[in-house]
Amino acid sequence: MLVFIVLLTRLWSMQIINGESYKKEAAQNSLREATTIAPRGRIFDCNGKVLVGNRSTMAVLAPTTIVNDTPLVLRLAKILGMTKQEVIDKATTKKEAALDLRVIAIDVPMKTVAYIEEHSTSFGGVEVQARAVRTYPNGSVAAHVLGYTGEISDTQLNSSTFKNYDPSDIVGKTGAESSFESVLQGVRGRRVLEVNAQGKIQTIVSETQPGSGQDIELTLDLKTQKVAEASLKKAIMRSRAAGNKAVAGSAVVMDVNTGAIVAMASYPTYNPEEFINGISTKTWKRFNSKSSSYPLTNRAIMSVYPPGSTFKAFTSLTGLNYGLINTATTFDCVGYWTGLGKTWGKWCWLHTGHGIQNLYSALINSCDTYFYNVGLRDYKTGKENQQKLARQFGFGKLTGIDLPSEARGRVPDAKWKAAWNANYPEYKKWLPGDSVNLAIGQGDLLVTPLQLVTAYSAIANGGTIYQPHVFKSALSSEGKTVITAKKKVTGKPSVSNSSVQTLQSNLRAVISQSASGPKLSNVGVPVSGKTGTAQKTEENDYAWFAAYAPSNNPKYAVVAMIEQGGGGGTYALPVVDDILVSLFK
Amino acid sequence: MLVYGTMMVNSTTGGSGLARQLLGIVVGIGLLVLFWIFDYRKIKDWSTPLLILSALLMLAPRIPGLGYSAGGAQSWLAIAGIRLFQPAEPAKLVIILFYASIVVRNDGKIESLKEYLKLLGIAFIPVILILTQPDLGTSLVFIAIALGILLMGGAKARWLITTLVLGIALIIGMVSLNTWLGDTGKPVILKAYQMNRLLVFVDQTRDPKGAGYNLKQSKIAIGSGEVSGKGIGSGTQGKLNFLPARSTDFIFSVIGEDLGFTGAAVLLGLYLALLMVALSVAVSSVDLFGTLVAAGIMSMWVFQILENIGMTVGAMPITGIPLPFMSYGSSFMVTNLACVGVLLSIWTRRPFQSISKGV
Repeated sequence: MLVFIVLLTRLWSMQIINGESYKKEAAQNSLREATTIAPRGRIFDCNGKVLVGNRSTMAVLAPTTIVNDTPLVLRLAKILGMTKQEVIDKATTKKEAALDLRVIAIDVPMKTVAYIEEHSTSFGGVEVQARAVRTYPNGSVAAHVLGYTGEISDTQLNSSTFKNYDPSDIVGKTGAESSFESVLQGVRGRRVLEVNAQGKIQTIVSETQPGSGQDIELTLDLKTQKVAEASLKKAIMRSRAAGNKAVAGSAVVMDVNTGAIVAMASYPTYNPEEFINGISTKTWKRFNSKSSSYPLTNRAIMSVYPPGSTFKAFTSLTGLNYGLINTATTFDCVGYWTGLGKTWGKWCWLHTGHGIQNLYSALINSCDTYFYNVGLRDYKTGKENQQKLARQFGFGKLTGIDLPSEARGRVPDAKWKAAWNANYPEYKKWLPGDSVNLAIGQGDLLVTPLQLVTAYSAIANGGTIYQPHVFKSALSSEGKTVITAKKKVTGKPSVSNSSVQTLQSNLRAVISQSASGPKLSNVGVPVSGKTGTAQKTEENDYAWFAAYAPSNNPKYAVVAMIEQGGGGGTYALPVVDDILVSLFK
Repeated sequence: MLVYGTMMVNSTTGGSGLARQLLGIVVGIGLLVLFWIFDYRKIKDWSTPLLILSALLMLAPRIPGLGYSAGGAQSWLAIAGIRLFQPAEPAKLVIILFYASIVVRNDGKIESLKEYLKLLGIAFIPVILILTQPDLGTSLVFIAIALGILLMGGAKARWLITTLVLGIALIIGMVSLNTWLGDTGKPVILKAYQMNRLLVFVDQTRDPKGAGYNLKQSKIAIGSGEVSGKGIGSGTQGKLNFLPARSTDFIFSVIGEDLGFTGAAVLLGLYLALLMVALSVAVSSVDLFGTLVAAGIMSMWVFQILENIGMTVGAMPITGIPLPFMSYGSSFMVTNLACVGVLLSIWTRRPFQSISKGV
């Protein structure tokens, strides 16, 4: 009798008190959730040409437990053309949830798929699934803007942004893939399956179809992008052939009236295809080594350089706007400038001297002496007008472009210098030489090519800083535009219209009147611009060219830069030339 | 209870076990009637020849061509590969009868420890016989029968308790010895699965893929049944094969899952009623033999019910013991029904003083 009461009590506790938790365990036993991966949204250029597409491919998956079955691992390795260790590595990746199957190989030929399915008994647990993977119809074109995708990282999984993600989800890692992740990522389909004790599927309990991600359009123009990349590469090769160390460079095209990025090239580049099956350690190491010049780096936004003479445009504006000079102000260039005293003399790039220069001729000749004088005058005011103006044009701060990992750059001033040299009291003081260096875009000034093109766009459009962006619109599944990027003004430098107009006409003259260097050919519209050849200790010169066109009714601003490329007029200018020709023909 | 059991067997075997089970019931009811009519007192003289026959039958499956192996034990008698029955099942009743007659022959007196030990010794003969099959569960049933009869026969409770304690000590000793032998690489007494079952009882998370798996799945099944169950045949644990031996040893888990606490409580109630009836038969018997036989049958049932249900909820170690009138197994059903027949035979021949007093 007593034992019956004991049994009944036990049953009561199991079935009535703890029934709910046992019920969950029973469901865990018999219900398996399988997810079907939704295709990511595609990425188009501004004309609807495919930049990143999707294709369906076959993946071979296997449970982690296959590593205990050496003959099976060997069979798999043989048929997939992998080594035993590669199969084991893929099967034991910690990335995916404990119960999920691991992707062993993707893009498996149909012949292999058929063989595995026919011999399913000797490939116990191995499954074949259709997957959508990224395609890059234009290969490496725009790789830095598009970015690549990869398995979500543990850190991402734990962050609130990726709250509803699965451990095996593919997410954007860099570029637009990363910036527009929330739009591009689809919603996984979920299938609840009832399985028996042997793991065999009995019925599908419930099923939701995957919802593919939204397609997006970028502001990039595929044609211009291709020209920019090809021309940049050609220029680097040419510079190298001429004995320079040139290895890397960048070119950016921006719509001066909207901030839309029309092209953004960075060299060296890579092919995002390499990331599709999960990148190999070897390739990853190669991508992150000095010898490969870091091809994953988007030099247009992630790298900072001294802008050299391209900055003289802003020094001119400072001079005009703050009354340090006017169009009639002249300085005599004798090749060696001693404005800071004989001990602190500085060369103009033309050691023989330019003679008497006004602002107009100084810009055309890129006369250093003239701008040394402007810098010195600014120093004497003690107001750091050069820096003030540079910041108003967006230097030293993020442009806010919708791409990750943008660099801030630097506009040096007295406060910065004191902090920078906190441990070296003798270097803490801001000196007239610092202002003079800044005036010709040297010294501690650092800018990204994107900042420069944004600032030149503002000169072109008469003084409005637009936030640069690559996002144009998001499309609904029917292909209709549902979200459109709005142009965003991030700054209105307080410069007088007359100052800007003077600078505009001078920059036009730089191209039309320049005596030295090759002129822009065949563009078909008037172009305004400025070369730059920035010096860096123990390195070859950095070649720059910044321009906008048409001069009378500006539409595009273009900047090209080649690291250690040599003279800006010789190596950077042809890149801009090629791009402008493509844009206006 | 027969209806209940048949329903569950039909559900858990997907209908395939129904015919054999019904055959068992028909044969069983035939035997029940036969035993009912037959005066149980006459069996007393037949108990020894029956025992010998039974022993022979139990050894028979070991003869090549006559045995059929299932669940790790060579316990089926088969001719030309056709399974007939498990001799160990009817042997339970034979042992009850034989053992009761021995105790009666001892004048129903178990006054000295010497007499107790002698009778206990006799009880151990069939136990050892069964252990060689090996069938630990059935041998434990025999011990339960012996202890029940001895208790009813007048053995002192403290002797029985001492025996039980020693028995448990023996098992613990065996496990320890086994572990030690296993460690030194010498041959072991217990088979690995038997060891595991015992160890799992102590640590229920042990061996999650083997013996521990059975227990875990059984508990999940019962627990998830909650108050009213998932409906006959709808329990996922049973239906999807998560439960091992769901039509035999673990049928109670299926009841718990499909019919919930309600179904399980009803079954416990039915068992309680059955045991009460057996007890009243034992008490009201006209002679000592009847009392002891009824006590033996009752002990057998009590042990089987408690051990079977106990193991499904983790209150007892897992041994392959079926649940009377519920588990799938025709030999088992036949034997149980025959036992009912014997009880009825004792009941019918009980003294009528209570009734005459009433008149």
